[in-house]
Amino acid sequence: MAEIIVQAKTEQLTISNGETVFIFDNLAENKVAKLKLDIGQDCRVKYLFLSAGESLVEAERDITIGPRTVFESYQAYLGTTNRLMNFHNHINEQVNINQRAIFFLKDKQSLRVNDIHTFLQPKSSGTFRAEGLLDDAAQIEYYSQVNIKPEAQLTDCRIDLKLNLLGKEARGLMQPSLFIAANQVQAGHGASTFNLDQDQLFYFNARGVTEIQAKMLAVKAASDRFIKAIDHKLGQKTIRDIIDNIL
Amino acid sequence: MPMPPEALNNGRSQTHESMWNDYNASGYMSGTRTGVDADLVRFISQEKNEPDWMLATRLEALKIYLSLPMPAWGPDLSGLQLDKITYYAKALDKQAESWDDVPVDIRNTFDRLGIPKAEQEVLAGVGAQYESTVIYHSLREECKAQGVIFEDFDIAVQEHGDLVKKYFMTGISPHLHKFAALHGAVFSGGTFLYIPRGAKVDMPLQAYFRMNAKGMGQFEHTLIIVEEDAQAHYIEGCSAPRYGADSLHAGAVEIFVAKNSRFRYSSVESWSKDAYNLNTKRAIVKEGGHIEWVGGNFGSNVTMLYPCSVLEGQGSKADHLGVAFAGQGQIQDTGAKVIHLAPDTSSNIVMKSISKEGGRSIYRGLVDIGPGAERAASNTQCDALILDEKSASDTIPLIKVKNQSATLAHEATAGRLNENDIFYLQSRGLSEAQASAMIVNGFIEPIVKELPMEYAVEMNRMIELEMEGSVG
Repeated sequence: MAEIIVQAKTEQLTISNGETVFIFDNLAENKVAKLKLDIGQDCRVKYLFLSAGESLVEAERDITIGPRTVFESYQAYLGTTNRLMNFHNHINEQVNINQRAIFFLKDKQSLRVNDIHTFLQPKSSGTFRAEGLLDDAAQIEYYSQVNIKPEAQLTDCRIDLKLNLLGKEARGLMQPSLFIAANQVQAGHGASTFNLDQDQLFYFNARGVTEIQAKMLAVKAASDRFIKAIDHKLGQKTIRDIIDNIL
Repeated sequence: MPMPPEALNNGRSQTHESMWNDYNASGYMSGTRTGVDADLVRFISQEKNEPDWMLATRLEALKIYLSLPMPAWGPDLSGLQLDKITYYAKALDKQAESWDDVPVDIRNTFDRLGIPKAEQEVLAGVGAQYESTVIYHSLREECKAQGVIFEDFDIAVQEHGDLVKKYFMTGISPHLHKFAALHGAVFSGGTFLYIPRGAKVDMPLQAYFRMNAKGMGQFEHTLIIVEEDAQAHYIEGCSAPRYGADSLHAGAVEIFVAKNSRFRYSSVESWSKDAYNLNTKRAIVKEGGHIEWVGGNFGSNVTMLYPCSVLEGQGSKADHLGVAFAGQGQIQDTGAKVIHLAPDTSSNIVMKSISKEGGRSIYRGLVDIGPGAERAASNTQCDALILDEKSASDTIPLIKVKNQSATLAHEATAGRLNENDIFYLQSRGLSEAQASAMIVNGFIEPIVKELPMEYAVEMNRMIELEMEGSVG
């Protein structure tokens, strides 16, 4: 699989028809505020977006996905502060899109993500999953929106948001929205929150695991799932190093 | 509760059709005016011989109304010409003691809606409002003996002023939004229901609100106080004929559910397709209390309605069940809001919507888990059926979590009628339209089954009528 590392000052990336490529978009290094990514037809693309501690306030990614392309998108937000991220996927015919996002924030870190997926043409499918872990007084606003245009019949998609509030002062706002203008579609969304409850903590404590260690285990478990799915050595190592550093 | 095939052959529901097509002469409108200002507010208050505090409350609400902008979110309300609405019209000088005393044309309207018959058979009490005032009210003797008060709201202001003053517009502040403020200024009629401590009313009580004249506005106020350990069920129905001119419904429902009490509020709203239904409903629930909302929204041009439960007491619960049907040119923007403020509170929201012939149904919801809502739990399920290519469905839930111990789940689905299901039913002798109606009735069954039998049957008939010629 060919590899593209998004460099500083890149404004647009084009992936030609039929290409198989891995794109690593590390915001902390490239500091690209706005990027337009055009993916041709019949491509296989893995895209890893990483936001970790950079000083940018706002960033935007506008992605057009050509017909019959398989697009895997991974977004990791690790320890960002006062960040606003805007993602917009424009999805053409018979695209298969699988997106996975993870965010881990602590202290008074905050993040707002607007994630928009617009299905323009028929017969595409998409799964959009986000899992968040918030410790201390961290805050997140996560808006995930699916638009299905009238022409996009036979779309099949689902949004799943999971929020784990590890800290007592942590706050989360989630809005998984569907705007559907076609009638032959399957669309759904789910959102859930969970936490380390007293029974679980008691269980951990009984086995010598403190509350702090239990939280670390939760973060490690979520990040390991994410890292495993990326299947790209540089991306995996970068994320693992950041997580280890944060923990 | 799906209708059996033979019931689907009964043809169009006469009751349902007459809701929208029949109207009476409205000579009483000659003495009315359009638009709202302080003079009108004073006139309404004077007409009702209200105490000074109520006039002051109205005028304050008017000030807030004039200062607030139109909602900048949701459906487009720019077509609503507020200065062409008649805000107050009195069809009768006084409330009737019996249905025989109600003028024939108005009585016929309520007969067609089935209200007197239901009063005889299944209801503990009935209120009937026509335009801005209540024209008939009754309550069974056994309920009166329990200390239940079920009154026209205007009469309650006179006879139970202290109770009304304590609660009125405290659940729904006029600052909440522009139409809550408008309501506070021009409200007229409505229901006052008081269930005393420990009372259990087994049969439902019902109020029916009917707008008749062209360009009318209806602003009834429903105030319900359920004391500790009490239990009751109240049903509201609403309708208006179709004129081709905008009418406005901006009622308000305030429910106060005390410790360990249980209250069910059901409504079937069938406004004409030129009505703006901008209603506000809110319940404040104390420790161990339980509020249940069961709602059906049909008709109207635009509906914006999101019943809200504020769970203030530990262990309080809210159930919201609703169905909305958006047909040609209609926008049904409905949903539910639950605000969890106390520990161990729980909520369950189940919403179903159906869109056809270019209709747009929108679920707009809020689940807000406050910092003090330890171990709060909430579950939301919304399902949408989109029956043809012209129609649309939106789902816009907002989830705010400010307590780490909360457990929260939300699920939504949208899709079309399953062709295999239709084929199966057709193979058993049903027409395509009948099969579709049966599937849709099955789709909304979780909500309909919570209504008393008579209302469930009527809601099924509404679905059947709405489904005619809409197979897609």
